[in-house]
Amino acid sequence: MSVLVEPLTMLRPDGRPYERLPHVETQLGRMLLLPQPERLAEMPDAYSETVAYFIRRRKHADEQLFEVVFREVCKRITGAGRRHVRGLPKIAAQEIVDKVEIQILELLVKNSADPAGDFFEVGFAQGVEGRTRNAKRGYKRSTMGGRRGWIVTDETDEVGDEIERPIELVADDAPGPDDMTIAIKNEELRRELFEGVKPRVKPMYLEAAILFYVENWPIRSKDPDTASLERRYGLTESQIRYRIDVVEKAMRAWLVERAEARRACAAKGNML
Amino acid sequence: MMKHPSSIFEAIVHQLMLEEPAPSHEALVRWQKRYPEWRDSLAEYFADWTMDRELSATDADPEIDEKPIIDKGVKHAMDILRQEKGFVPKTSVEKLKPFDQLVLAAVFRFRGSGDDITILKKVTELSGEDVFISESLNRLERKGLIESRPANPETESENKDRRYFMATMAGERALAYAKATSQTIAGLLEDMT
Repeated sequence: MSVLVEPLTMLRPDGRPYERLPHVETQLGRMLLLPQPERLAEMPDAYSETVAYFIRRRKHADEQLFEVVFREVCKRITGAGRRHVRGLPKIAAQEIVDKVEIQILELLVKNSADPAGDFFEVGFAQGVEGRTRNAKRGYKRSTMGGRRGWIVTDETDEVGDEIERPIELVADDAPGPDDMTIAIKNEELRRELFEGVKPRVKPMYLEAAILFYVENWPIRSKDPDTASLERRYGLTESQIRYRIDVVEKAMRAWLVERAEARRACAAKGNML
Repeated sequence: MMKHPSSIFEAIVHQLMLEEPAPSHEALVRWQKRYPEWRDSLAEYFADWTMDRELSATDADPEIDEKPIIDKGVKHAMDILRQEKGFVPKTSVEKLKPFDQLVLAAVFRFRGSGDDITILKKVTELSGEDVFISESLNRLERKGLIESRPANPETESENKDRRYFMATMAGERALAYAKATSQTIAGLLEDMT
């Protein structure tokens, strides 16, 4: 036995309305049949999309019921949000999660009729992730974030003579472009590689290289509306190429060091 | 009311997170065509998304104090509710007229499976006279003491024009008071704790 749940109104680009996932729809159909105290008891185990539904579609705001429901939804926002503020200092991470929580509550509670809230009934975690990433972006751009030094920014954007390490010392027989391509195609090795070079290059250099190698962003595009690295950074093609080159050399150096470390490890094993 | 531009972009971001499994350049170009006015924000967002995927795997979740954030959120949301017309404080107990008490008690007894006809029969039986309950049901629903739903045409097709009623938490509080003050209701709700 279940209740028919009212459909969502937000439309997809093709004109069809968004739909809740079948397991959410089933849970809602069942929980709507329960008296409020039983519904409340099930709330901690309910899908977040279901909790969002009960917040948005309330007819009467019973304090006893909603204190529990809000605590549940806040726990979930905070829990999901913290996974997307990794690498930030505690104070920045807290402020971002706090800001995202308030934003989501404003949408679900204050602006319950806003069709944008439908997305939280379709995919709750995606909404927290997207908003957290967006808030993080705001911090990166804010003078406050910069002043506090939460985000390490690239202060000198020009083609510079600053190189993080003496990467010119990479040996001639170091891994070449093919080895790099192989390493980048292997997701596990790629992550290891990026983590390895992260402390050796400027963050924005690394970002340009990752966008170029992993996501195939073009350095320049004839179409001014198409995303390109030139457009993203407001730099010339040669400046972008320089950055990628710096990261590439650092990656090759890292691959050499890794190979040497492995060889040394194997030799030590043979000796034993 | 005009939406703040940032909340428009947040909705766009949520939509793209529902539709795109990964931050590819191809997907970015598609979204930039769909929302050209957000072209640069989308490019930044996709770049950040890529960096999060490529670099965050080895970082542990940050140590943050969740409790104050959760407490602040709950307070903020409750403050919004308190401004609403239909807000029902948890200490409030609605004192009802005897007939409305009877109707509410009948609704409660059926625990959500009572429709207008079965509830009418029950109230008629209890009161010993022919009654009309629709006004009482409307009144109780307006006060937030009961909630109703239409019949499910797939599983309740035989009753497709009927509505089903259920007591809310505020309704149960009102009934607990009624039980303490009325012998009729107390008799009807012997099993209510």
